[in-house]
Amino acid sequence: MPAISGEPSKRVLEHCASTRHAGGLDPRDPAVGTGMAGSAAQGDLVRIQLHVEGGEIQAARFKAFGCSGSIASANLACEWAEGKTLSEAERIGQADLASALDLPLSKKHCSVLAQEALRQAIRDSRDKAASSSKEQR
Amino acid sequence: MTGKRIYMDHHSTTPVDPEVLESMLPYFTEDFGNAASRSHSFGWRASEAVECARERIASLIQSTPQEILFTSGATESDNLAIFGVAEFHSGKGKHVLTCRTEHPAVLDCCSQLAKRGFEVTYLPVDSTGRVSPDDVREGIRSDTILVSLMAANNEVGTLHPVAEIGKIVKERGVLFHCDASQAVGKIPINVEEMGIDLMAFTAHKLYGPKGIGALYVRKKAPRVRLAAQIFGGGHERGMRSGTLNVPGIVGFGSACEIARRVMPEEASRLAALRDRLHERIAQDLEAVELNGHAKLRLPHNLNLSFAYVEGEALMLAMEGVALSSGSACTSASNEPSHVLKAMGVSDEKAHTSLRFGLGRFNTREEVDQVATQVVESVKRLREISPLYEMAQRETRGIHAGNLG
Repeated sequence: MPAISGEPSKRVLEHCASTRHAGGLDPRDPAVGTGMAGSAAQGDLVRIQLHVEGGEIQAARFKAFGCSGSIASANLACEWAEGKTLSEAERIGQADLASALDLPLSKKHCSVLAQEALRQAIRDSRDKAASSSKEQR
Repeated sequence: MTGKRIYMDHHSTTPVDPEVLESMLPYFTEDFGNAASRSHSFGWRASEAVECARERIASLIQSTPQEILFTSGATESDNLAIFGVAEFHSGKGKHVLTCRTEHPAVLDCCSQLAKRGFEVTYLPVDSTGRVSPDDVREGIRSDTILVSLMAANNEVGTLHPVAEIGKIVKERGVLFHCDASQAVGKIPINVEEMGIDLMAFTAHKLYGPKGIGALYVRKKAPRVRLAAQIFGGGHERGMRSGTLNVPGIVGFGSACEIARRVMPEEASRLAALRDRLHERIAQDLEAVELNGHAKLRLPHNLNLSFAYVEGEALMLAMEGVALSSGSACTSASNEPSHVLKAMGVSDEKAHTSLRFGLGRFNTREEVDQVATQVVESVKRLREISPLYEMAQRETRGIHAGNLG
């Protein structure tokens, strides 16, 4: 049976114990952008959703199927994204998440997935905003 | 960490039984002699203790004491059996038959053999983890020198039809090595009735100390010959040199003696606790599946998949409870359990598996506590699982939209 190497970091444990940003937003809402990364077969699937008003992220929510590192990375990415503009949130990077959570190298992919899901959600938010402004015109 | 810790990972290792520890202590201090010292009473006392332990160990597996050879553990025993037989009998043939669900102690030896010019066949298992005796029969070739199969699987607890396989292997005049690390002391093992020629097992899986194991090597019908792999003094009739670990051996002997005494009662007690754990979990949670064989498995094993929830996150959520998972979130390859994979379990489901291994000192209160924690943790993690949300939406028949 594959071993879990070492105890998870304190920061990871804190985020897993209180997943303040866990949840879902209505994907049919034009103000909500959704991003997904990973796959269940590989053991990690992360979804991040953003509620955007006037280019600013009002709320960020995640759902994750994955190990503690993925859950913590997604929760932290949402925490950081809230209150930021889409362009600011786009700069939230995998390396920053990993170092803030003390992720070991073996869990680097967890922070990569959170970054990917977040950036996809940002792209989706922009696409939706662009298509709704077209409709308005 | 708050509250009491609960250990339910007894396939990994077991605590030393206090009675076992007690029996070992004199051999660290007063009776510390080298069992190979023939010239004084310190050596004689140590040697006597070793031979007494050898008898106790032999009687648990129905062998003679002369057929027990001490090693550092089951991994070394597997190495000695596989490389020892391969080296000694390579003139007869260079084919070894084993199974996909073996422990790495066997699989890694076999892949080494493959690098040294041997051919290895890995037999498949069915969805419960059992190898078919017919596959063994058909897999044996004219150049097969060894069949290596475990007695009980360390992940799902499934028992192979060892006696049936032993008979087939014997008919073909091939040697049969059995890794019985998980089985000895847990279920009756009789090397005669099971037709086993070599058998690896270890003390720390049956409430003995770590660092001491044994290899059973059949003396009669047939007399098994193998090439030593460790040299330096000719201990253990030249088969395994090195000063004997006397306290460890004494502890191993006591552990086997206790196991022989308590096994029937302990097995039924643990099976009842195991079933209670399963029932309690299954009555409060949907989408829980058993991995392994419902009946033909170790009495203290329970391996469950909790759909939509990843195993490592689940273990972590269950604070203070020691378990194991078939998920592989930290391994570089990210490959889940090779055992579950061989059984045809999907990667996704393998990532959701949890192994409960009950043991001698677990109580009913602990079982109930663990069941409660499992149910709470699975429910909480399902709430944050995108897979669970998708499944819920599908069952409600609502269009999944762009999240599907």
